[in-house]
Amino acid sequence: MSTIAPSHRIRRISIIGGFLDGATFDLADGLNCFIGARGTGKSTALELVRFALDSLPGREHHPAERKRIETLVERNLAGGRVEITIETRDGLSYIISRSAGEDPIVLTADRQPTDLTFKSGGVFRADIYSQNEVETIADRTTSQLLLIDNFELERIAEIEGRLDHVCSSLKGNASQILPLQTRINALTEELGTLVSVEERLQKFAGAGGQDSDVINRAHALKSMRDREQRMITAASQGLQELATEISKLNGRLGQQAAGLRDSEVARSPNAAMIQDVLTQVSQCGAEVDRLLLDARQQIASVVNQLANASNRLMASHKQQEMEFRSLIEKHQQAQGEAAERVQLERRRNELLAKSRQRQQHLTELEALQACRSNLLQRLSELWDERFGVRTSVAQRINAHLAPSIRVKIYQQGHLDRYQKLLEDALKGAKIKHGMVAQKLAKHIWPGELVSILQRRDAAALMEKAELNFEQAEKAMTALSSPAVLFELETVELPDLPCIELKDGDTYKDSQSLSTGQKCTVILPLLLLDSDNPLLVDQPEDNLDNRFIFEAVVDSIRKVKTRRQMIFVTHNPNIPVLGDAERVFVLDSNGASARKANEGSVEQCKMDIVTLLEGGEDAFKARKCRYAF
Amino acid sequence: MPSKPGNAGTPSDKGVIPDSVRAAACQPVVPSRRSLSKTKRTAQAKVSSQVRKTMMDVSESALQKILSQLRGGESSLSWSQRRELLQAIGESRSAGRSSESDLGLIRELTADAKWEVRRAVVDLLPSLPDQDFDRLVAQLSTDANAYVRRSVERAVKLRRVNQRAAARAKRSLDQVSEHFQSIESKHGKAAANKAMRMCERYSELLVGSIVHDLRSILTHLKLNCHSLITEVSEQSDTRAKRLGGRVRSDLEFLELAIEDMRAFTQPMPTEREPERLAVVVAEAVELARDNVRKVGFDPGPVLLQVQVSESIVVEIARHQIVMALANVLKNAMEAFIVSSNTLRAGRIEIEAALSGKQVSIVIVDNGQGMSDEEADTLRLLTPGRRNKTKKHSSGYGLPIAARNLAAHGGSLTLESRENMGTAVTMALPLRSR
Repeated sequence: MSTIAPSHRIRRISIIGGFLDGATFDLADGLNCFIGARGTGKSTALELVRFALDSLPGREHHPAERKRIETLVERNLAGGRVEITIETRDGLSYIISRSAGEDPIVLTADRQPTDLTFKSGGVFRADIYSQNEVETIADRTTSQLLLIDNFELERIAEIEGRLDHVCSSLKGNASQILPLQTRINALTEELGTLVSVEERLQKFAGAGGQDSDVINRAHALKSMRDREQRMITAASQGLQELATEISKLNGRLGQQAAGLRDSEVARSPNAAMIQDVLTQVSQCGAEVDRLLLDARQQIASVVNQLANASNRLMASHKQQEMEFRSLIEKHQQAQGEAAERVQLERRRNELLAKSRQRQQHLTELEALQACRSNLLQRLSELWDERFGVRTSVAQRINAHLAPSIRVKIYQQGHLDRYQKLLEDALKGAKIKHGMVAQKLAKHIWPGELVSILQRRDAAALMEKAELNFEQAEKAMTALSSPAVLFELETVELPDLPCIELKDGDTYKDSQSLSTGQKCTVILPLLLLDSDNPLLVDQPEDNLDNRFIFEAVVDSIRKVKTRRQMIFVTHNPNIPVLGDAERVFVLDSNGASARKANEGSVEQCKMDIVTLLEGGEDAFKARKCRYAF
Repeated sequence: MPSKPGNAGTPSDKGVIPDSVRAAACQPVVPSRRSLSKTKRTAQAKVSSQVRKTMMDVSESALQKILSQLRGGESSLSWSQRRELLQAIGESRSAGRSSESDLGLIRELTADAKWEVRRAVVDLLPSLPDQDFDRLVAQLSTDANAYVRRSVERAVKLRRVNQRAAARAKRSLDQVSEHFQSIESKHGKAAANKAMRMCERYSELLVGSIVHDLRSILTHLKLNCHSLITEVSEQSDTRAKRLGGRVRSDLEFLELAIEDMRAFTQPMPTEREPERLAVVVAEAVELARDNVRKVGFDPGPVLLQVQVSESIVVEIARHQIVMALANVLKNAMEAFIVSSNTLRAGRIEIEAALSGKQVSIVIVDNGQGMSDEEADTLRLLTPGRRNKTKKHSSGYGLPIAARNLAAHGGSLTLESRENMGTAVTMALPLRSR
């Protein structure tokens, strides 16, 4: 076998059960072609590889395609399984085995189980395109972005890992800020009465009269006593609440471990292992319970001490209270006012405690907001970093494919998600929410919109988004809820790729191209250098033979020394002129399919002539007509 | 000094129409529509500058330091700070201050790696002279970020709209000039002047009646707003108070603008009295200082040096000439604005020299000056607010000065160079004819 640059390779495809039962394909480095009449299971073989490698189209973006392939696999595998032998870039061999409706299992070359999965693409990956998928990429910017990301999969995945982390931190941050703000607002409202309470107290204190100084001082001391009592009660309450919380945790792990016990599993071959795990969990639970008990005891002892202190305080308060009463009784007028005054002092103390609480919340809020603004900066920087990787991919692609194909990426070009968010938030605002959302999304980026909303600058909305007064006012109100603001701060505007084909003197966007041109613009991107094997079902669809001969065959010959290729094809140019290392010929009797022949182009020459050229006679007749 | 001095008031320069007349002729069309929208826009600028807390130091020396650090690649500013810096520069530019360093910084940050910073540059595009505008637009219109590109497109569109409006205004003026000339060639100079005087009078009457109506509406509006503001401020949070403050200052500005419009349409008194020029100038200096204080600046740092011979006596309508001088002096003082409430130290020289039967009064400042393009617009003496005018200026100062001088058979010329200063020369005949 020829030595090629380190890259991932598929060594063998085996199908056990179903339509292709018993078929085994040993693949070569370089170009492999599957040929055969219609309905002989060529596409099925390719989709089975895709199924085994767990790289079906995403459920989120392309649910219909995923469903189609799942159905096809289920029908053609009929309870059987498919096994793929692969060799990674690092020269390690694995067997991936997957049955219908199950997850793939990764085995070592000598069939020992491993804990690997290929989902992330970190260990092994193949680029697989079903029939007609190539042209749909030209229509879908999300697919194009995936295609571009594919060239730097590991770096993109690494950045996205960090992005996920920042996003979840931001979510956590928002879930802390929201209730805190509600609490602060409630406290602020309540504290509104503090001024009037203090004013009324001032009136009492300022009333003057006989011995007013003495009386004022006595009231001040009484108020102080009230505050002292409150402080101790509050401290004790806090401790007891914590103790209650802790006791809720008691025994939790032990119960969980007990709940997991399963008498059937207890008889399974792995029972000992499972038993071990459960024992560990219950032991850990017992240890945690012990620590919790410790904590509870400590709390209880402090609560006791507080109670003692409170009793002592009460005793001295009683004494002071007696003195207060006797003083007040001496002054007739003061006596009449005392009850109300004491009431007010109590209310004031209550409010002062709340004011301190509010101050504490404000400090917490400030810290959370500082943290949030850091996270938001980080988020923006990570988006930039990912965009930078994509730009460098685009430059690499352009270096290879210029001038006929040009790839550009616009940062934040994809507004759909942002616009949808605005539209939803504007529903019920009694304005043309669709139109207003579109204008806002087009002209004001989310961060800027948030800062405009925060400073309630309706004039900026009018000027920047070209809204009228009424629209700006109503949008301002509808968008200013904290929940919407948080969402706006983190809404992602995906980068928008633009793949263009040179047509004459101008470049045309892939979406505006004819079906044939769509394949012409996308296929060369798929054929670029990569570590991953490339599997395409009928790349020649919609392409003219001239393009296949000039562009596709040429690329195949260039790239196949570095990259394994597996094509299902009906076009003779691909295996013959692409000088396929191996050709597989499939045949079917309707109920089942089989491998009819395999080998080099030379060895499969007659099959190629019959199946792809329409037979020897047809080929000769054409040659004669052309008179070459 | 630039080589093309504007020569307002002398018919030879721009056709036969005295500038005061040119201004008056187009006034009902241009400023009434334009100044309204401009007022709205400055009100917005004020709003955002009040709300946004800017920590950035945008003094000339600070900017120079940042610029040299950026150029040397050793700046320690984070991208969000670079963005704030641009926002602060934007505020100081809208307060009428501009310098080489902030242009340099804007140019430098146009190539910033972070798109949020480049997007902030786009917000400053409207305040740039044509040359820089075109260059930065060329650089930013292919930006990889979709928001940067879209906002550049919008800035270009808006500038085009403004340019078209300016061109339209100029066309209207030229048309009036043509009419004037055709009347002159058919019926003689006297008839043409008479016709012009008629038009002028008519437009004065029209604008006068509009201003009158506006003033009476404003009186009520002001009273009601102030009661409302007091009412609301008593019981509400700081936000309501802040909004009240904004309404109050917008109203004040509206009143100022209407007062200027009124002054511009007041019929010119015909009585002329001999007055000592030195006294007139001294009075104008005081008036200018008062007016500068009224819009929130301390005139202290600006030194005024007056060299007017005590012996010069002119026959004038005193108030008109005091106003003309004070308006020019106020502009000169505003050439030293560094932020929305401070003037930097500077010098203004006022010199009067006799030449034949007229006296020429030259007012020179060493303030920020203006580009040729700005000076050209100013020399048209069309009243109304322009793109880069100062926040508290109605755009009537210089046109009123020119009009008052023209009524005395005098003229006003202006020369300016960016970052060097401005010189205004006012020619005034000694005797009224």
